[in-house]
Amino acid sequence: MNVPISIEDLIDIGIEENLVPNKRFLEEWSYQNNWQLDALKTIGLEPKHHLLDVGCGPLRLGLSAIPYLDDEHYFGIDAFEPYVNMGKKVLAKAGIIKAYQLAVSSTFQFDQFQTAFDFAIAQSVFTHLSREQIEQCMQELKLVMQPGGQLIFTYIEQRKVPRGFLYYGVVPMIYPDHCDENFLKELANQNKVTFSKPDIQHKSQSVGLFTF
Amino acid sequence: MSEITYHSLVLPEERLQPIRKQLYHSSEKGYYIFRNFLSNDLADHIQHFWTKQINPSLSHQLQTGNDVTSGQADSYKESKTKEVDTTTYFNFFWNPPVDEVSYQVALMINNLRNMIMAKPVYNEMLHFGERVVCYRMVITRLGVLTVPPHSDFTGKNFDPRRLQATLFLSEKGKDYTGEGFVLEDNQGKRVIMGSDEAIKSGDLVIWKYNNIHAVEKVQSTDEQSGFTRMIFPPQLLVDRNLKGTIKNLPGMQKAIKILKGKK
Repeated sequence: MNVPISIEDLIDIGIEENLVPNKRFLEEWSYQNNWQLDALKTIGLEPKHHLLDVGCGPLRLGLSAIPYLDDEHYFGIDAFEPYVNMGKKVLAKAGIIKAYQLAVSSTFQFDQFQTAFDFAIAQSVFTHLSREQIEQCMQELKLVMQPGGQLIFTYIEQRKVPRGFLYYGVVPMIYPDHCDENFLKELANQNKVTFSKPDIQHKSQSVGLFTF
Repeated sequence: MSEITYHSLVLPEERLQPIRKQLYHSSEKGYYIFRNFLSNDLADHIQHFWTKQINPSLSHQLQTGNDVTSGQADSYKESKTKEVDTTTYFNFFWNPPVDEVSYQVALMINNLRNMIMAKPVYNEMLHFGERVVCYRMVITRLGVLTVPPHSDFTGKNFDPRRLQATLFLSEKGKDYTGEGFVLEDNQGKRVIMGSDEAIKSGDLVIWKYNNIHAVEKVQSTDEQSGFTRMIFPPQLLVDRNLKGTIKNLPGMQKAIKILKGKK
């Protein structure tokens, strides 16, 4: 049974992993949770499918996707280990008992799951990856996506000036300026996949789809 | 002798973790006391400078409103009645310091607070964004309810990450009597700094901004310097360069229409 998670729970669990409270992250917790699963269902996700959550964070999506999917059909991966540790505790607090798999990787080692995926999602991931990292991500996805498999992702189109930043004050990252439709179409061509823009709205970002 | 590197100048995560837990976890205090943060000579210098040495009419402008604009001069405000006697100095990092010691200490405290909040050390130091830190010297000699109980960054401005810092530069009993700074911990229990927690001049307390806090019941004799502290409120910049917010300034809508018309 899913036990609701309060903001206080999230703050407490986060601080146990040395993650200070993030206002926007907490405020948008429910929205992002709901949006991600709804978007995946819109493009055809069913309980029988295998889902790869790229940049799973502390399992905002996992909290609703794991109960929705069949046992051990959810796979989450993130480069930031404290998030993955926090995610496990969030699921335990919520009383989730279905099996799932998680991994920590900054080099998109999706093949470690030894699974072919029907769907993948990268919500707010391309928004802070370099061009090279996005290209690497695509190459690794090609190895693990089923033919016809789909990656739904969000991106920010209007950013004109790239910015570097320190995530949580420690991890160097980039807000890129290259992630527009032209780049995504070129990426699709290079990787022999199809890029499209599904009719799915997001409150602050653009939504794209790669079909493998 | 260990190498001096960038990483040796930044507090490591494992050092910050217990501090953050004590501040943010619902079962913990909601404040952290850095005892003897300042040596006696530095604390005494700062207290002496701002209570005895400074001539605000020469170094500061008289504060006329609450708005903060980029690059504004340091200012001061005095409230002197039968019930209240408080002097506040509003200082900004973009101005040359009237006291280098205070400036340097303030800079280090702001850096520390930012590190604990996992923000860049320069966060809100200058007028890059929506808010800027004002390092305020506050001297209260008399006041029943100098700062009424309230909490900050709640409601529509909710931000559970926000921390405040109070550098104590006086001691209860020696420099003032009564209560002084009062804070509720994470369980809602009232804590009087200087009574429930022993506080000396030079101690730094970092605490959760969302928790209810106040300055109450301060008294001092003519021979005493009063309840003196340095605090670091992040103030809204009225000329901040953010989408949407500058449009709300008076007259801006008309100005924007005129400019669009000219394009």
